Amino acid sequence: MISLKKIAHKKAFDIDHKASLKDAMALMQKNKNGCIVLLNDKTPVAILTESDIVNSLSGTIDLTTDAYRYATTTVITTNENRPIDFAFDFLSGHDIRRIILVDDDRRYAGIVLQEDLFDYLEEDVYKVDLKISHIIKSNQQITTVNENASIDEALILMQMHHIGSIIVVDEMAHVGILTEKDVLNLTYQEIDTKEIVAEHMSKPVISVDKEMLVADVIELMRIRKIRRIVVTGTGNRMVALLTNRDILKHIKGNYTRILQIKIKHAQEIMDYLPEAIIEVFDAEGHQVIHWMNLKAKNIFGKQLIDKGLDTIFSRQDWSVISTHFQSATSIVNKMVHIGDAAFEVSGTSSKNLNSTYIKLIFKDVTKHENTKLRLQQEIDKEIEKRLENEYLLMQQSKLATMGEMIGHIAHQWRQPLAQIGGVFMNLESAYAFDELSEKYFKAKVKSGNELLKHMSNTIDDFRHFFEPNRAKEIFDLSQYVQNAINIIQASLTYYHIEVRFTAPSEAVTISGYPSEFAQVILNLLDNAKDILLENAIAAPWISIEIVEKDDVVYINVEDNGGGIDESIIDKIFDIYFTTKDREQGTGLGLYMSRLIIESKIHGKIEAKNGRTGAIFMIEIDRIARESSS
Amino acid sequence: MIDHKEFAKKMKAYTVLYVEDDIEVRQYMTEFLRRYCKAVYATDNAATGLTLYKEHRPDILLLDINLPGMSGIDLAASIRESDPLTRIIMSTAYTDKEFMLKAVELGLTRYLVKPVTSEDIFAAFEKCMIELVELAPKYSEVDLGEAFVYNKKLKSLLKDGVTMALRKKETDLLEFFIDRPNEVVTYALLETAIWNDQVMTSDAIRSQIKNLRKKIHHKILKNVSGVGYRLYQKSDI
Repeated sequence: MISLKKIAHKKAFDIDHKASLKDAMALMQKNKNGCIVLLNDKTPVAILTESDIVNSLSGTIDLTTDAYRYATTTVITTNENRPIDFAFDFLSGHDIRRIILVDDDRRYAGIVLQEDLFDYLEEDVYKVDLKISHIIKSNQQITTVNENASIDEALILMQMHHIGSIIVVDEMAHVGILTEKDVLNLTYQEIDTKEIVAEHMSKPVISVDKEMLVADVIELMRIRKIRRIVVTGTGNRMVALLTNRDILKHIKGNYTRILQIKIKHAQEIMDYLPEAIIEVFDAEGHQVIHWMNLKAKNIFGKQLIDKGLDTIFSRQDWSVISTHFQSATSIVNKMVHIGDAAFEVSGTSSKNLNSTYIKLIFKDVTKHENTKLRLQQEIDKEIEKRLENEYLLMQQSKLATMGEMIGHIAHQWRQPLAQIGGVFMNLESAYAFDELSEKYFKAKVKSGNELLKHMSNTIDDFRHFFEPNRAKEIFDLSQYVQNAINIIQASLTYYHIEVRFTAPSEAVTISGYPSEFAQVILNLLDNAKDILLENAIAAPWISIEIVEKDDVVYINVEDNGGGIDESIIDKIFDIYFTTKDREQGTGLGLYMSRLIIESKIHGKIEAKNGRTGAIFMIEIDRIARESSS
Repeated sequence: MIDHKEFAKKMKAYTVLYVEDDIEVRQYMTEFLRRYCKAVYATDNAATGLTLYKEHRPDILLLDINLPGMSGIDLAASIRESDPLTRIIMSTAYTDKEFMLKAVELGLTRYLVKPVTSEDIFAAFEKCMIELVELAPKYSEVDLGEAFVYNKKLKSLLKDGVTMALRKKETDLLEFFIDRPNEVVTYALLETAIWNDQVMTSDAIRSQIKNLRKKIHHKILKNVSGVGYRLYQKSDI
């Protein structure tokens, strides 16, 4: 649809608002339209039309006065970018014949005349079979004036009846017409209004038969440049005076037809849309498929018009949609499944008195849904894989821990085993040398039993050490640090690593899970041991220190193993981070340690480098713990 | 089953240095070894071990690998620098592949994994003795006094380096006494071991003894009245 500015007249339709009536009228004659827009520095401030002049004519008129005095100062304007079809409503809505256009800054941009619009009407609106008789009222009152009447008399009639022209008759028939244009002309020529009409009327009167097609009449009026035409009936009798405004009004009245055409056009366009669209007619709860676009027919079937909605939707889906429309006028992206396909249905409803039209558009999201499904499956698979990996890693971690444990047990047993071996060797040799006295024999058996007992205790210690706590308990940190040291002591002794443990003389108690806490300490001791061996430290030591400061307890585990590389110190608590090779390290030890300290003890653990090696610091704030738990 | 007493006879000529830091294990092992060896020098660290080595020049070293400060391997390596002969046995709590290579390099005789049994010890010491005899003449030569030496490896009697002829029976008899130093060999034992339970007259024994005394020297075999004979001892001269 083209915009108004494309068809606007721009020249000879405007004049400065201070112009004289004479100048204004000269221009009105020049543009042959009988109107002029008065501008005050580009802004339209008034419009002067023929009828303004006709209405002001009483006696002579001073043409040197300002045109503004006679002009209509209520100017109705519209933006030049409006579409043409808007103009139809606008003209009839305001009962005007011209539209003054302004630009975005409200400056004058031209004028569009009523008759210009005819060119742009879709032809079939009026051309096909519309006749004049269809659009004129049957008993129209026609105002006439005798040809011998004065111009004044004619003007009074025009002013009285608010008409822009008057038919001039003699005793027999109409002989001419006096229009606003004629009035303008004679005013401009300063002709005395006492003169008779016959001298100044337009003639002959152009008349058409009432059975003439409107389209032809419009064409005729356009050629003759007239705005009115006399309509004659049987016997050339004048039955109406038809103005182009009447035609336009009628077309406006017939606008529904235009709309229908437009709808038809829109529906045709909808056939080209990739989405299925259906229109549902709902009359008092009974719903049928009223219309479908091509795509809808292709997807759902060609024979569904007038059928119920259950031919498309599942009962449940339709129930949801129709229920939704009982309280709302639109629905957005309602997911429905039809056959193997998935759609997002959106739509609006428009209500009439007792019926409702619902338009629904189907967005095929099958592909999208399938992709989503596939992605979800992939994600599920990944998660499963991840869980499996995690499970494997946990298993690996358990195996590693077990390996370490067996190492510790082996160290614990190494000594008693060697000693029991010694006991047997001596029993054997004493017997061989006949030196096996009862006393000697009993002493050796006693030593052997003590060693066995010691080995048995070791097993118990290990078993208890790894029993998880089911509930929180209040425990002495020193005791459980000592338990952890006991587990690893034999290994440390074997590698000649000195362990220094200092703690306050009184018990340092907190509430939590002691076994888990002890495992963290063991993990730190194990790591320290590994680094001391790896770096082959000459006089290796590990120091564990429990310090109590007000309500905060610190447990510091320090070694002289050389420390942690500063570039990785921030990562050492991350899951799967390890500096050990794959067989030795799982990257879970410190991660689990942090997890235990944070979740089971509500403390913090951090690492830094001391003078000779790493320091792992566990900080437990008793006050904070109480308020957090 | 090893005959402990028999083994002790062989081991009696050898001295052992034993380094082990586990006091209990050291005490048990020392008690055991003293029953068999000529002397056992025991300590808990490598440094003292080195001092004892220099002082006593033992024939065999039994070293634990894992010692505080200087390890058993380091000690063995430092001794090997100037002494290829002394036999070395290592003991350890764990098998260690890396160590096996070192063992070859250092010419170690055995590698014992704890806990060790008497069989392990005997087998290791047996091997040490065989190797020592192979490597050094002093371990196969027996001083018989009066410049006479018997070489067990060559099965020959020498005087000032010159081989002296001995008959088969005489060699067997002499070796039998050499293998039992400080021991009185009874007539009955001689009967079963040398004459294989053949009927043996006391004259026959005396005759053989006489031959040996003539070929070597008079005091080589000493008569213990009514019991049997024993090999000469240095104190006898």
